[in-house]
Amino acid sequence: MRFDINKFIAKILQIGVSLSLILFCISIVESFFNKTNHFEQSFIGILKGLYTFDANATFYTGVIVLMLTPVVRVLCLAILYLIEGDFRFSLISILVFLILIFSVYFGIH
Amino acid sequence: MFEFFLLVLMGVLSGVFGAMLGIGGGTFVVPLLVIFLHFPIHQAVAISLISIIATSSAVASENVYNKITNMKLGITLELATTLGAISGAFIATLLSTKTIELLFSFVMGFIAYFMYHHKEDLGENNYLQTKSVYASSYYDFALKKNIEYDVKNLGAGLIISALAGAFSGILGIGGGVLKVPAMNTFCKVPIKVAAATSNFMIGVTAAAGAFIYFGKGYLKNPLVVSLIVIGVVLGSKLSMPIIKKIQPNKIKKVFVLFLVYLAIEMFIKGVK
Repeated sequence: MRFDINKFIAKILQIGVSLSLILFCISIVESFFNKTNHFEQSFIGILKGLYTFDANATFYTGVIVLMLTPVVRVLCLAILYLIEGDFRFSLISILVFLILIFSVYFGIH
Repeated sequence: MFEFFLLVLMGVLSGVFGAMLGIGGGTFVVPLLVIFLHFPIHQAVAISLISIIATSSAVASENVYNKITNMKLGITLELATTLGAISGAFIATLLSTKTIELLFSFVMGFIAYFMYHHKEDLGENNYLQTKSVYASSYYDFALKKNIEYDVKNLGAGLIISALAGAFSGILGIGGGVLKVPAMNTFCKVPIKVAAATSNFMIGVTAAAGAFIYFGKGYLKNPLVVSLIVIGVVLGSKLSMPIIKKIQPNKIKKVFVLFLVYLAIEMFIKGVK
Protein backbone atom coordinates (compact mmCIF):
# COMPACT_ATOMS: atom_id res chain seq x y z
CA MET A 1 0.00 0.00 0.00
CA ARG A 2 1.22 3.50 -0.86
CA PHE A 3 2.23 5.72 2.03
CA ASP A 4 -0.50 8.30 2.70
CA ILE A 5 0.99 11.76 3.21
CA ASN A 6 -2.37 13.17 4.31
CA LYS A 7 -2.82 10.67 7.12
CA PHE A 8 0.73 11.16 8.36
CA ILE A 9 0.39 14.96 8.54
CA ALA A 10 -3.00 14.61 10.25
CA LYS A 11 -1.38 12.33 12.85
CA ILE A 12 1.41 14.80 13.64
CA LEU A 13 -1.05 17.63 14.19
CA GLN A 14 -3.23 15.43 16.42
CA ILE A 15 -0.31 14.29 18.56
CA GLY A 16 1.03 17.84 19.02
CA VAL A 17 -2.33 19.28 20.07
CA SER A 18 -3.17 16.34 22.34
CA LEU A 19 0.19 16.46 24.10
CA SER A 20 -0.01 20.20 24.75
CA LEU A 21 -3.61 19.93 25.97
CA ILE A 22 -2.65 17.18 28.40
CA LEU A 23 0.15 19.44 29.70
CA PHE A 24 -2.34 22.32 30.07
CA CYS A 25 -4.70 20.09 32.07
CA ILE A 26 -1.85 18.95 34.31
CA SER A 27 -0.81 22.58 34.86
CA ILE A 28 -4.38 23.51 35.87
CA VAL A 29 -4.40 20.68 38.43
CA GLU A 30 -0.92 21.64 39.67
CA SER A 31 -1.97 25.27 40.12
CA PHE A 32 -4.45 24.16 42.82
CA PHE A 33 -1.68 22.65 44.90
CA ASN A 34 1.37 24.80 44.12
CA LYS A 35 1.36 28.58 44.37
CA THR A 36 4.72 29.68 43.03
CA ASN A 37 4.88 33.22 41.75
CA HIS A 38 8.63 33.53 41.35
CA PHE A 39 9.10 31.77 38.08
CA GLU A 40 11.93 32.15 35.60
CA GLN A 41 10.73 32.05 32.00
CA SER A 42 13.83 30.47 30.50
CA PHE A 43 14.76 27.08 29.16
CA ILE A 44 16.57 26.05 32.36
CA GLY A 45 13.83 27.57 34.54
CA ILE A 46 11.16 25.56 32.74
CA LEU A 47 13.13 22.31 33.04
CA LYS A 48 13.70 22.87 36.76
CA GLY A 49 10.01 23.67 37.25
CA LEU A 50 8.88 20.53 35.45
CA TYR A 51 10.91 18.50 37.91
CA THR A 52 9.25 20.16 40.90
CA PHE A 53 5.71 19.97 39.43
CA ASP A 54 5.54 23.73 38.99
CA ALA A 55 2.27 24.71 37.26
CA ASN A 56 3.92 27.49 35.24
CA ALA A 57 6.68 25.23 33.96
CA THR A 58 4.17 22.60 32.82
CA PHE A 59 2.11 25.33 31.16
CA TYR A 60 5.05 26.81 29.25
CA THR A 61 6.14 23.36 28.13
CA GLY A 62 2.61 22.91 26.75
CA VAL A 63 2.82 26.26 24.96
CA ILE A 64 6.18 25.40 23.43
CA VAL A 65 4.95 21.97 22.29
CA LEU A 66 1.90 23.65 20.73
CA MET A 67 3.95 26.35 18.98
CA LEU A 68 6.39 23.76 17.66
CA THR A 69 3.65 21.49 16.26
CA PRO A 70 3.22 23.51 13.03
CA VAL A 71 7.00 23.81 12.73
CA VAL A 72 7.42 20.04 12.93
CA ARG A 73 4.58 19.66 10.43
CA VAL A 74 6.40 21.89 7.91
CA LEU A 75 9.64 19.93 8.37
CA CYS A 76 7.83 16.61 7.86
CA LEU A 77 6.17 17.96 4.73
CA ALA A 78 9.61 18.95 3.38
CA ILE A 79 10.97 15.45 4.00
CA LEU A 80 7.88 13.71 2.61
CA TYR A 81 7.94 15.76 -0.62
CA LEU A 82 11.66 14.99 -0.93
CA ILE A 83 10.98 11.24 -0.61
CA GLU A 84 8.23 11.54 -3.23
CA GLY A 85 10.74 13.26 -5.56
CA ASP A 86 8.71 16.47 -5.62
CA PHE A 87 11.66 18.87 -5.29
CA ARG A 88 9.75 22.06 -5.95
CA PHE A 89 7.46 21.58 -2.95
CA SER A 90 10.25 20.16 -0.81
CA LEU A 91 12.22 23.38 -1.40
CA ILE A 92 9.18 25.55 -0.64
CA SER A 93 8.61 23.63 2.63
CA ILE A 94 12.26 24.06 3.62
CA LEU A 95 12.03 27.82 2.99
CA VAL A 96 8.93 28.05 5.23
CA PHE A 97 10.80 26.00 7.85
CA LEU A 98 13.75 28.41 7.79
CA ILE A 99 11.43 31.41 8.21
CA LEU A 100 9.90 29.68 11.25
CA ILE A 101 13.34 28.93 12.72
CA PHE A 102 14.08 32.66 12.47
CA SER A 103 10.93 33.31 14.52
CA VAL A 104 11.78 30.57 17.07
CA TYR A 105 15.25 32.11 17.49
CA PHE A 106 13.74 35.49 18.37
CA GLY A 107 11.13 33.91 20.62
CA ILE A 108 13.53 31.90 22.75
CA HIS A 109 16.03 34.74 22.95
CA MET B 1 -15.45 28.65 39.79
CA PHE B 2 -17.79 30.82 37.69
CA GLU B 3 -14.78 32.50 36.07
CA PHE B 4 -13.40 29.09 35.17
CA PHE B 5 -16.64 28.20 33.45
CA LEU B 6 -16.76 31.57 31.67
CA LEU B 7 -13.25 31.19 30.25
CA VAL B 8 -13.89 27.66 29.00
CA LEU B 9 -17.23 28.73 27.49
CA MET B 10 -15.52 31.65 25.75
CA GLY B 11 -13.05 29.21 24.26
CA VAL B 12 -15.79 26.81 23.17
CA LEU B 13 -17.71 29.57 21.36
CA SER B 14 -14.54 30.83 19.66
CA GLY B 15 -13.71 27.30 18.60
CA VAL B 16 -17.15 26.68 17.10
CA PHE B 17 -17.14 29.94 15.08
CA GLY B 18 -13.52 29.64 14.09
CA ALA B 19 -13.78 26.10 12.80
CA MET B 20 -17.07 26.70 10.99
CA LEU B 21 -15.82 29.80 9.21
CA GLY B 22 -12.19 28.89 8.73
CA ILE B 23 -11.06 31.95 10.68
CA GLY B 24 -9.21 30.15 13.47
CA GLY B 25 -11.21 31.27 16.49
CA GLY B 26 -8.91 34.16 17.37
CA THR B 27 -11.25 36.75 15.94
CA PHE B 28 -13.55 35.95 18.83
CA VAL B 29 -10.95 35.52 21.59
CA VAL B 30 -9.35 38.98 21.24
CA PRO B 31 -12.49 41.16 21.53
CA LEU B 32 -13.94 39.01 24.33
CA LEU B 33 -10.81 39.30 26.44
CA VAL B 34 -10.34 42.99 25.68
CA ILE B 35 -13.95 44.15 25.93
CA PHE B 36 -15.33 41.95 28.70
CA LEU B 37 -12.30 41.03 30.78
CA HIS B 38 -10.27 44.24 30.19
CA PHE B 39 -7.15 42.44 29.07
CA PRO B 40 -4.30 44.51 27.59
CA ILE B 41 -4.62 43.89 23.84
CA HIS B 42 -1.06 42.59 23.38
CA GLN B 43 -1.74 39.83 25.92
CA ALA B 44 -5.08 39.06 24.31
CA VAL B 45 -3.39 38.76 20.92
CA ALA B 46 -0.77 36.40 22.36
CA ILE B 47 -3.46 34.17 23.93
CA SER B 48 -5.42 34.30 20.71
CA LEU B 49 -2.43 33.19 18.62
CA ILE B 50 -1.88 30.22 20.95
CA SER B 51 -5.52 29.18 20.72
CA ILE B 52 -5.41 29.62 16.94
CA ILE B 53 -2.53 27.13 16.70
CA ALA B 54 -4.58 24.62 18.71
CA THR B 55 -7.82 25.08 16.71
CA SER B 56 -6.10 25.13 13.39
CA SER B 57 -4.16 21.97 14.13
CA ALA B 58 -7.20 20.17 15.55
CA VAL B 59 -9.42 21.10 12.61
CA ALA B 60 -6.69 20.86 9.98
CA SER B 61 -5.98 17.26 10.94
CA GLU B 62 -9.62 16.38 10.16
CA ASN B 63 -9.62 18.29 6.87
CA VAL B 64 -6.27 16.91 5.78
CA TYR B 65 -7.54 13.44 6.61
CA ASN B 66 -10.62 14.01 4.44
CA LYS B 67 -8.38 15.43 1.68
CA ILE B 68 -10.26 18.72 1.43
CA THR B 69 -7.06 20.68 2.11
CA ASN B 70 -4.82 21.55 -0.84
CA MET B 71 -1.47 21.16 0.91
CA LYS B 72 0.63 22.26 -2.08
CA LEU B 73 -1.26 25.53 -2.32
CA GLY B 74 -1.12 25.85 1.47
CA ILE B 75 2.63 25.44 1.82
CA THR B 76 3.28 27.88 -1.05
CA LEU B 77 1.10 30.59 0.46
CA GLU B 78 2.71 29.93 3.86
CA LEU B 79 5.90 31.50 2.48
CA ALA B 80 4.01 34.79 2.39
CA THR B 81 1.94 34.37 5.57
CA THR B 82 4.88 33.50 7.86
CA LEU B 83 6.99 36.44 6.65
CA GLY B 84 3.96 38.67 7.08
CA ALA B 85 3.22 37.34 10.57
CA ILE B 86 6.77 37.91 11.87
CA SER B 87 6.80 41.46 10.50
CA GLY B 88 3.33 42.04 11.94
CA ALA B 89 4.30 40.81 15.41
CA PHE B 90 7.32 43.12 15.49
CA ILE B 91 5.22 46.07 14.30
CA ALA B 92 2.57 45.30 16.97
CA THR B 93 5.08 45.62 19.80
CA LEU B 94 5.68 49.22 18.63
CA LEU B 95 1.99 50.19 18.36
CA SER B 96 -0.21 51.55 21.16
CA THR B 97 -3.24 49.67 22.52
CA LYS B 98 -5.74 52.14 21.01
CA THR B 99 -4.12 51.96 17.57
CA ILE B 100 -4.40 48.18 17.53
CA GLU B 101 -8.02 48.29 18.76
CA LEU B 102 -9.00 50.72 16.01
CA LEU B 103 -7.10 48.75 13.39
CA PHE B 104 -8.90 45.61 14.59
CA SER B 105 -12.29 47.26 14.14
CA PHE B 106 -11.45 48.65 10.67
CA VAL B 107 -10.11 45.34 9.39
CA MET B 108 -13.20 43.49 10.68
CA GLY B 109 -15.53 46.11 9.19
CA PHE B 110 -13.81 45.98 5.82
CA ILE B 111 -13.94 42.19 5.72
CA ALA B 112 -17.63 42.15 6.68
CA TYR B 113 -18.36 44.61 3.84
CA PHE B 114 -16.31 42.59 1.38
CA MET B 115 -18.00 39.33 2.35
CA TYR B 116 -21.46 40.88 2.06
CA HIS B 117 -20.90 41.98 -1.55
CA HIS B 118 -18.82 39.03 -2.58
CA LYS B 119 -20.38 36.38 -4.78
CA GLU B 120 -19.02 32.89 -4.41
CA ASP B 121 -17.02 31.69 -7.40
CA LEU B 122 -17.51 27.99 -8.03
CA GLY B 123 -14.19 26.48 -8.98
CA GLU B 124 -15.70 23.98 -11.37
CA ASN B 125 -16.98 26.76 -13.67
CA ASN B 126 -13.42 27.85 -14.35
CA TYR B 127 -12.00 24.43 -14.90
CA LEU B 128 -9.70 24.24 -17.95
CA GLN B 129 -7.91 21.42 -19.79
CA THR B 130 -4.41 22.67 -18.94
CA LYS B 131 -3.70 21.71 -15.36
CA SER B 132 -1.20 23.42 -13.05
CA VAL B 133 0.76 21.52 -10.37
CA TYR B 134 -1.83 22.76 -7.87
CA ALA B 135 -4.83 21.17 -9.58
CA SER B 136 -6.74 18.84 -7.29
CA SER B 137 -10.15 17.48 -6.37
CA TYR B 138 -12.17 16.77 -3.23
CA TYR B 139 -15.37 15.01 -2.21
CA ASP B 140 -18.10 17.43 -1.20
CA PHE B 141 -20.20 15.84 1.55
CA ALA B 142 -23.06 18.35 1.17
CA LEU B 143 -23.31 18.09 -2.64
CA LYS B 144 -22.44 14.37 -2.54
CA LYS B 145 -20.02 14.48 -5.49
CA ASN B 146 -16.36 14.78 -6.40
CA ILE B 147 -15.33 18.32 -7.40
CA GLU B 148 -12.27 19.02 -9.55
CA TYR B 149 -10.60 22.42 -9.60
CA ASP B 150 -7.41 24.24 -10.54
CA VAL B 151 -5.60 27.17 -8.91
CA LYS B 152 -5.36 30.50 -10.78
CA ASN B 153 -3.57 33.82 -10.10
CA LEU B 154 -1.13 32.52 -7.53
CA GLY B 155 0.61 35.93 -7.41
CA ALA B 156 -2.50 37.66 -6.11
CA GLY B 157 -2.94 34.83 -3.61
CA LEU B 158 0.62 35.35 -2.33
CA ILE B 159 0.23 39.12 -1.91
CA ILE B 160 -3.03 38.79 0.01
CA SER B 161 -1.54 35.97 2.10
CA ALA B 162 1.36 38.23 3.12
CA LEU B 163 -1.15 40.88 4.15
CA ALA B 164 -3.23 38.30 6.01
CA GLY B 165 -0.08 37.13 7.78
CA ALA B 166 0.76 40.68 8.85
CA PHE B 167 -2.74 41.20 10.25
CA SER B 168 -2.44 37.86 12.03
CA GLY B 169 0.78 39.03 13.67
CA ILE B 170 -0.63 42.42 14.69
CA LEU B 171 -4.21 41.50 15.63
CA GLY B 172 -4.03 37.83 16.62
CA ILE B 173 -6.63 36.84 14.06
CA GLY B 174 -6.14 33.78 11.89
CA GLY B 175 -6.15 35.81 8.71
CA GLY B 176 -8.55 33.32 7.16
CA VAL B 177 -11.04 36.17 6.85
CA LEU B 178 -8.79 37.59 4.13
CA LYS B 179 -7.42 34.38 2.66
CA VAL B 180 -10.67 32.45 2.22
CA PRO B 181 -12.40 35.07 0.02
CA ALA B 182 -9.10 35.78 -1.78
CA MET B 183 -8.51 32.14 -2.65
CA ASN B 184 -12.12 31.82 -3.72
CA THR B 185 -12.26 35.02 -5.82
CA PHE B 186 -8.75 35.29 -7.29
CA CYS B 187 -7.44 31.75 -7.22
CA LYS B 188 -10.84 30.25 -8.19
CA VAL B 189 -10.64 27.59 -5.48
CA PRO B 190 -13.97 26.17 -4.16
CA ILE B 191 -14.96 27.81 -0.86
CA LYS B 192 -14.63 24.63 1.22
CA VAL B 193 -11.14 23.96 -0.10
CA ALA B 194 -10.27 27.61 0.53
CA ALA B 195 -11.51 27.35 4.15
CA ALA B 196 -9.70 24.05 4.79
CA THR B 197 -6.45 25.25 3.17
CA SER B 198 -6.64 28.53 5.05
CA ASN B 199 -7.09 26.62 8.31
CA PHE B 200 -4.09 24.48 7.44
CA MET B 201 -1.96 27.63 6.97
CA ILE B 202 -3.30 29.47 10.01
CA GLY B 203 -1.44 27.21 12.47
CA VAL B 204 1.94 27.92 10.90
CA THR B 205 1.15 31.62 10.51
CA ALA B 206 0.04 31.97 14.14
CA ALA B 207 3.11 30.05 15.34
CA ALA B 208 5.41 32.43 13.45
CA GLY B 209 3.81 35.36 15.27
CA ALA B 210 3.35 33.56 18.61
CA PHE B 211 7.07 32.96 19.13
CA ILE B 212 7.69 36.71 18.94
CA TYR B 213 4.97 37.45 21.54
CA PHE B 214 6.25 34.59 23.71
CA GLY B 215 9.76 36.04 23.57
CA LYS B 216 8.48 39.48 24.56
CA GLY B 217 6.76 37.95 27.62
CA TYR B 218 3.12 38.57 26.70
CA LEU B 219 1.96 35.09 27.76
CA LYS B 220 1.42 35.78 31.43
CA ASN B 221 -1.64 33.99 32.81
CA PRO B 222 -1.08 30.21 32.59
CA LEU B 223 -4.47 29.31 34.09
CA VAL B 224 -6.43 31.68 31.84
CA VAL B 225 -4.58 30.64 28.70
CA SER B 226 -4.96 26.93 29.51
CA LEU B 227 -8.72 27.20 30.11
CA ILE B 228 -9.35 29.21 26.93
CA VAL B 229 -7.24 26.96 24.73
CA ILE B 230 -8.93 23.82 26.08
CA GLY B 231 -12.31 25.45 25.39
CA VAL B 232 -11.32 26.41 21.87
CA VAL B 233 -10.27 22.88 20.98
CA LEU B 234 -13.49 21.45 22.47
CA GLY B 235 -15.52 23.95 20.43
CA SER B 236 -13.78 23.22 17.18
CA LYS B 237 -14.13 19.47 17.71
CA LEU B 238 -17.85 19.86 18.47
CA SER B 239 -18.44 21.78 15.23
CA MET B 240 -16.69 19.27 12.97
CA PRO B 241 -19.75 17.04 12.35
CA ILE B 242 -21.83 20.15 11.54
CA ILE B 243 -19.40 21.78 9.10
CA LYS B 244 -19.65 18.92 6.62
CA LYS B 245 -23.43 19.24 6.32
CA ILE B 246 -23.83 23.00 5.99
CA GLN B 247 -24.14 24.82 2.64
CA PRO B 248 -21.61 27.66 2.06
CA ASN B 249 -24.21 30.45 1.88
CA LYS B 250 -25.49 29.77 5.37
CA ILE B 251 -21.94 30.04 6.71
CA LYS B 252 -21.51 33.41 5.01
CA LYS B 253 -24.54 35.05 6.61
CA VAL B 254 -23.47 34.16 10.13
CA PHE B 255 -19.99 35.29 9.23
CA VAL B 256 -21.00 38.82 8.18
CA LEU B 257 -23.29 39.50 11.17
CA PHE B 258 -20.67 38.30 13.56
CA LEU B 259 -17.96 40.51 12.03
CA VAL B 260 -20.10 43.66 12.08
CA TYR B 261 -20.83 43.17 15.77
CA LEU B 262 -17.14 42.69 16.61
CA ALA B 263 -16.09 45.71 14.54
CA ILE B 264 -18.56 48.03 16.32
CA GLU B 265 -17.60 46.82 19.81
CA MET B 266 -13.90 47.19 19.07
CA PHE B 267 -14.35 50.65 17.53
CA ILE B 268 -16.16 51.91 20.65
CA LYS B 269 -13.38 50.53 22.82
CA GLY B 270 -10.71 52.12 20.60
CA VAL B 271 -12.10 55.67 20.61
CA LYS B 272 -13.12 55.77 24.29
